[in-house]
Amino acid sequence: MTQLLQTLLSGLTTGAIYGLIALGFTIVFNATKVTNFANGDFVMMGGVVCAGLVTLAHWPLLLAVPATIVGVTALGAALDVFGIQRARRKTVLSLAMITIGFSVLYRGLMQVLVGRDVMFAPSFGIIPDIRTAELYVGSQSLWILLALGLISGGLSYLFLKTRLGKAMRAASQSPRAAALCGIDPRLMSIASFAMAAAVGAIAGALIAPIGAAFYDYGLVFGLKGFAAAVLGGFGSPVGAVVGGLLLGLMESISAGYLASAYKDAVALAILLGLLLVWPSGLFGRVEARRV
Amino acid sequence: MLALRDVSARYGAIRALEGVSLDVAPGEIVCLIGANGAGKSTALNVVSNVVAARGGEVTFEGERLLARSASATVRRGVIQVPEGRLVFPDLTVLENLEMGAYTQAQARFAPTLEAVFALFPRLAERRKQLAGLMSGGEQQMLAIGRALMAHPKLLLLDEPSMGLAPLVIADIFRALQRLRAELGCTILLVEQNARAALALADRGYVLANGRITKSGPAAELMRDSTIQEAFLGKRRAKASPDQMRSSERVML
Repeated sequence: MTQLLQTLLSGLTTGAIYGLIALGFTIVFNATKVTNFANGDFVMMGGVVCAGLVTLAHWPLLLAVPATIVGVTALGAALDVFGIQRARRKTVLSLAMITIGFSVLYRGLMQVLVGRDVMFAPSFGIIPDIRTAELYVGSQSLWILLALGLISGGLSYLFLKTRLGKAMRAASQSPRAAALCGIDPRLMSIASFAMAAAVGAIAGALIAPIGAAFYDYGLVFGLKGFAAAVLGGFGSPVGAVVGGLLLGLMESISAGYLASAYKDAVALAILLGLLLVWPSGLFGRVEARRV
Repeated sequence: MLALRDVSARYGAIRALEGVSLDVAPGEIVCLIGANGAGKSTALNVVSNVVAARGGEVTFEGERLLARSASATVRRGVIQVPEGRLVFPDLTVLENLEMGAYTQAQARFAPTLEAVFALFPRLAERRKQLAGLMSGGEQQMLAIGRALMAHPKLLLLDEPSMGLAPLVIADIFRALQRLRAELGCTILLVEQNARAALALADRGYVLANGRITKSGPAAELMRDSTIQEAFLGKRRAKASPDQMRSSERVML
């Protein structure tokens, strides 16, 4: 029983990370209908920049984390301004290719700027570990769960209640109609990439102390976050969070009770099975449209 | 109020507009009729600055309008209801209307919303519904309502009758008449449905292959024999009594 509980708790932590990454996919997709394959690299850069600032430049963590968020946000906005906006043909495929191009670019940039070593950042601290006779939840895990709660709540509020959030959704549904309402679709697009990058940076900085930071981790982060977003229903913020947590739990259970070497395979096999039953994901829905 | 002088536009090698000049005076309803592909929508999109003109001049209330951004044009009070309605399908009716008011101060929202709901009570009933799930006529009302939320001085309407049943078209055109009577809107209307458009408008322009071929008071155009042949047809002779009644309604 205790082992199960402990397994579930560690699954929740991993799942919260996946949920944060999935939220990045959701933000960009909801505002632009672009699947951003550089999303995992936002997370990678969050970790690498933060760990680099702390271990190489000896910045205090309190300064390094905000600086990381600002820097990665700017790099994310650059993907939109210099990539997506410049595309001559805005087809789903060409825009996806641009994001893949930037993914490679980000990897190269981090290699050159920070280096090719696996790095760790110190834990955030402040929040104490939870330690009882049977259970242990690390302080960093609590930070991650807290971040997921705050960020997902904030994003739901933004997209459902604020004028900016609704305008972002409107611009993705009909860019021309949005322009005729006085909404600048380019501004909405930049805002979405910047926000996704900011969320990614936070996720990256949060994992750097317990996972590790390495310039090549973007692909794995991206893949897991993408799987979580698909599981939850691509485009649904609630789905991103639930999908992330579920994926984390599935991985952790299969690692704990089968073999940790198979955890990815088991989790992704379950994902495939679920998608056969619910093709649009748990919280996805068929688009409401009547012609 | 609005003046186009010698405006040209093209899509790649295709000329969409060639030397188009037209005027709209305050309080007027002016219609632009013509066949599919004549350049009617292009003319409106040039005014809205979502399509770039190749030459010519567009002025609104004496100010140059060309080469501004689409959102700057909206802020000047020139609002377009686009062809095909283009409501935001996954937003509710109320959210669609909020987007219409995107450039407006928050304080004006509630009274404007009330005015739009008074004009289209149907929208009030369905305010929580996703726009994409509504009928074509309701979507057209929503598209017009969304434009009204921005307090238009000049309303540009692109094919409001497209794909709608005659009775629904009659509803929409009645609403347009009330717009002028109650809100003092000036309207530039683009239509393929020449009969309904001319019945509503004060003046009309005929556009063919990107050029203005005729213009004048709507009643005069309605009597013009070449226009009758090209756009009005001889439907009445063949129409069943039912259809006749509805086309009568459209003519009002």
